[in-house]
Amino acid sequence: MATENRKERLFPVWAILLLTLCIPRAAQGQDDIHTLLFRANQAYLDGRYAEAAGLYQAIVDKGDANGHVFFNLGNTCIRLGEVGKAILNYRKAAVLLPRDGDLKANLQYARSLTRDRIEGASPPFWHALAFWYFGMNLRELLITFIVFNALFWASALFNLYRSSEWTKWGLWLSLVLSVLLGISTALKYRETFRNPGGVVLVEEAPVRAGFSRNDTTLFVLHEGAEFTILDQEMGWWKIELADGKKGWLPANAGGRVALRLSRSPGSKQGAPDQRVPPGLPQAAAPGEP
Amino acid sequence: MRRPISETADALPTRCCRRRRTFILVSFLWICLLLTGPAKASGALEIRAWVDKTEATLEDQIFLTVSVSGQRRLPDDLELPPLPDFSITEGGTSSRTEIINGTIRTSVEATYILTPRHLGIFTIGPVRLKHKGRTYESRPLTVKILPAASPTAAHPKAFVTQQVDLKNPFVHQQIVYTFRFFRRVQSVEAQWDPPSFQGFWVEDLGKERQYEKVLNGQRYAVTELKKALYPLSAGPAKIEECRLACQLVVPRQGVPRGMDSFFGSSFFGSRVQTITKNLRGEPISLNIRPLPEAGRPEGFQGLVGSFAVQAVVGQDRLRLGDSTTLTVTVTGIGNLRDLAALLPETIPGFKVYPDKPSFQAEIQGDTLRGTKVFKKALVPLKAGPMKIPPQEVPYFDPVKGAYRIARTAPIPLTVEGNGEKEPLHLVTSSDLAGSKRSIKVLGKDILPIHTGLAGARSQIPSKTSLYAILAGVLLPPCIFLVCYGKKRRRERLETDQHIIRRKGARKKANRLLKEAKGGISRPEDKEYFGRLARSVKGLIGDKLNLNALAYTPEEIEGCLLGRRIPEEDAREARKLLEELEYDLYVSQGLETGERAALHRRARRLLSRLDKRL
Repeated sequence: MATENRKERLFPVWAILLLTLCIPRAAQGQDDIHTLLFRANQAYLDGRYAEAAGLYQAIVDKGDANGHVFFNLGNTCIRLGEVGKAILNYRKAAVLLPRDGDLKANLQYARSLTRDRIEGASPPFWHALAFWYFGMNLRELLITFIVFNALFWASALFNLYRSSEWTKWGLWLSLVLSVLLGISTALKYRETFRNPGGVVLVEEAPVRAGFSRNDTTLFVLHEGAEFTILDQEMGWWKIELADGKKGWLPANAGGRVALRLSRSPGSKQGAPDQRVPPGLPQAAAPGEP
Repeated sequence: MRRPISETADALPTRCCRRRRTFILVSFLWICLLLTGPAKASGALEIRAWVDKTEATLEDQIFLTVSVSGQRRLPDDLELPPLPDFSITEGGTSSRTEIINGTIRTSVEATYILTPRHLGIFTIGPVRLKHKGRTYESRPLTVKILPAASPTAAHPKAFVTQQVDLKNPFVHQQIVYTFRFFRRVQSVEAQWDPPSFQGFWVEDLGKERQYEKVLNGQRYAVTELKKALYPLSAGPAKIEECRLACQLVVPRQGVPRGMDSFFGSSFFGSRVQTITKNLRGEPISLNIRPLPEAGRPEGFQGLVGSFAVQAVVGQDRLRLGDSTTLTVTVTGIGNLRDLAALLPETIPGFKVYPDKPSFQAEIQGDTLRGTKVFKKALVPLKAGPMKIPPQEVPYFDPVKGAYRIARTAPIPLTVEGNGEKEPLHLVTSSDLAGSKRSIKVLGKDILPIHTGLAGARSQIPSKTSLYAILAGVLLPPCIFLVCYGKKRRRERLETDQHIIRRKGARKKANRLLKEAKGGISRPEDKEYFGRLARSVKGLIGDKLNLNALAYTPEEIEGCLLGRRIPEEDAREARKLLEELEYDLYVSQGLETGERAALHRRARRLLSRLDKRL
C-alpha cells in the first residue's frame, strides 16, 4: 500500500520530466549542404557571382529553406543586376530571419534600385503590439508554443495535486499565452507557406484588365515591383499594388514569396511557381504593349 | 362678469372629472382602432405600380412607385420584374393609415428610381408579391425612352461635353482630356462619373475651373476639368461616355409669378422644383499611332514629347580623392516620369555613385510639365584636366514626327594631385567648431553575405519533425488525462462505501473464520456457530452492499440467485446457514469433528462466493 502511494506521489514528477522531452530536436548533420554553402560563399567572395548564384540555388532546391541562404542569394542577384530576383529572395529571407538588420538594409537598398514608386500605407499599430509574431519565424514560434503548451498542462497537473491561488493564476496565464501562441503559429504558417506576396522578375510587365493578352493594359510594372496576389486564373495572377491599383499579370512575369513545404528537387528558385499552360504568353517582352 | 366664490369652487372638480372621462374615452377608442386596424387591413391586400412619366429621355430618371395596401410595412417577398434596360436605385418607403367612415386603410409605398440605359420602348413587367399562399401582381407598365436633347439643337438647360486635344496621338504622347458641364439654371448635388480611361495613364491637371460662356445667345455657367492622358499601347482606343447626375432647379409649371409674389411663396408652396438629370458625354474614339522603328536611337526609353537637359557640377576644380556632384536636370512636356537613367551611365576617369532621381510635375497652361533631377557623386580616379561627356536623353518629338536627342555640353574639370604641397592651416577652437559638416554619403551598397554555417540548417519544420511536433503538442494533455483518471479513481476508492466494503469483504470473512477456528475444540462454545454464520453473511453482505446479517437463509438464497450465482452454491449457503442457526439456538452441541467439518464447509463456500460475487 505504501509503495503504491509513493508511486502515485512520484507520478507528476515523471510526467513533468516527460514533458521536457517533447521539444523537437534539430535536424542532423548535413555535410553536403555544408560543402555547397562553403563553395558558394567562396565563389561570391571571389567575385564569381554566376557560379555562386548556381550553388546557392542548388541549396535552395534541396528543400532546406534557410534565411541566410536566401539572403546570400539576394546579394548575388544584386551583384548580377537582377533586382527583381534579389528583392524576391530578400523577402523570402525576411520570412525566416525577421530580426536581421543586414537583411532589412539590403532589402531597402534593393528597393531603391527599382523603377516603380508605389506609395503604400504605413504599418498598422498592431505590428508593434504583436511584437512576438513579427519578431519570430515559424520554427521559433512553434517551439515557443510547444513549450508554453507543455507549461500549461504541467501547471494544470500541478493544480490537480497542489491547488492554490497562485497555481490557479499560473494556470490561467499559461492558458492565455498558449492560446495566443497557437493562433500566432497558425497565422505564421500561413504567412510562410501561403504568402500572397509577389515580385516582378522581368524588365517590364504590362498589367491588364483581364487574364488575356487581348485585354487592355492598365499600367506597366517594372522589375522589382512588389504586389499582392489576390487570385489566379489560367496562368495569370490577379494582383493588387500597395496603393490599391489592381489588374492581371502573367504568372511567368513574377515570383511568389511563399516558401515550399516539401522538397522538390529540380525546381528553380526565383522562377514563377505558377505553371503556365501551353499557348499562353511566356515572359513579357520589354516594351510590350 | 364676476362669479361668486362658492360657485367657482364647486364647478372646478366637476370640470376636471369631465375632462378626465373624455380623455379616457378618446384613449380607449384610439386603442380599439389600433387593435382592430391590422385585422381589417390585412384582409384587403392589393398591389399597384405606376411611373411618374411614360416618356423620358436618356438624361431623365423615372420614379417607379409600388403601393401595397393592407400592409404597414413593405413585405420582404416583394419581387420587382427584371429591368436590364434600367439601372435601379431605391428611393425609400413610406406608409399611410387612413380612417374613412370607421374603416381603416393602411398602405405602404416603395419608390424606385430607374435610370434608362438604352433608347426604345420598354415594358416594366408586373411587380409580384406572394402572401399567405397567394400571388398578387400589379399591371405591367410601358415607357418610351427618347434620345437626349442635343447641345447644339436647342437651348438645353444643362449638358456635358468631353473632348481631347488630339485624336491620333503617338504612344506615350501627352493628350489633354477636357470635361465641361454647361448649365443655364442652378444645379445642386452634381456627381461626375468619369470614364474608366482604360489603356491610358492618367494625371490630374489641377482643380476644376468655373467660368461663364455664351452659346447661341444663352449664358451658360461652365465647370471645366482637365486631365493629361498618356496612351499605353498602339491601336484603336476609346474613352467611354462620361456621366453626370445632378438636380436642376427649374420654375414650377402652373404657378403664376404674380400670384406667387403677392401671396408669398412660403404659404402656397415654392415656385421652383428640382428635376433629376443624368447627363452623358459622347464617347471619344482615338487612333493611337505606334512609334516609328526607323531612326530609333540607342538607349531610347520611351520618352515622347519635348525635352531639354542641363548639367552643372558642384566644383570644377578638385583634388584627387575629393568628390563633386553632377546635377543633370531634364525638363519638358511628356512622360518624363518614365525616364530611368541618363546616357552614358559611366564617365571615364571617374567613379560614379548615382543617387535616386527626383521628379516634380507642374501644370503649365493646359499641359503637364515635368522636371526630373539626376544627381551623381563623381570621384576622380586620376589627376589632370578631365571632361564630363555630354549627358544625353533620347526622345521622340511627336510634332516633328522624328527622334531627337537632348544633350548637355561637355563640362571641363581640373583634378589636382595629392603630391602638391598643402598650405598650412592654422585653426582655432572656434574655427574647428564652425568647420564641422554633416557627413556626406558618397555611395550606397549592400551589406556582405552571411558566411556562418547556420545557413546549412533548415529553418522550417520538415515532414520528419512533424511527429515530434505532434508528440510535443499531444503528449502533455495525454499525461494530464492519465493523471487525472488515476486521481479520480483513487478518490472514488476512498469515498465509495460499496467499493470499500467489497474490497475488504474477504479479509473480514477470513478474520471471522480465523477467530471461529479456536472454538472447534470447545464443544460448549456456541458462539462458534454464530461466528461462522457472520463470516458467511458478512461476505455476502459486503459483496452485494446489503445488511445481510439481518437476512434469513431463504432471503440470502434469493439474493444469490438474483445475482446469477449457481443454484448449488446458493442452496449450499442456505443449508449451511440453516444448520448453523439450528446448532446455535437449538442443538445441544456437536462433536469436535462435526464442528471442524462445518468450518471447512464454510471456508469452501466463502472461497467460491468470493470468486463469483
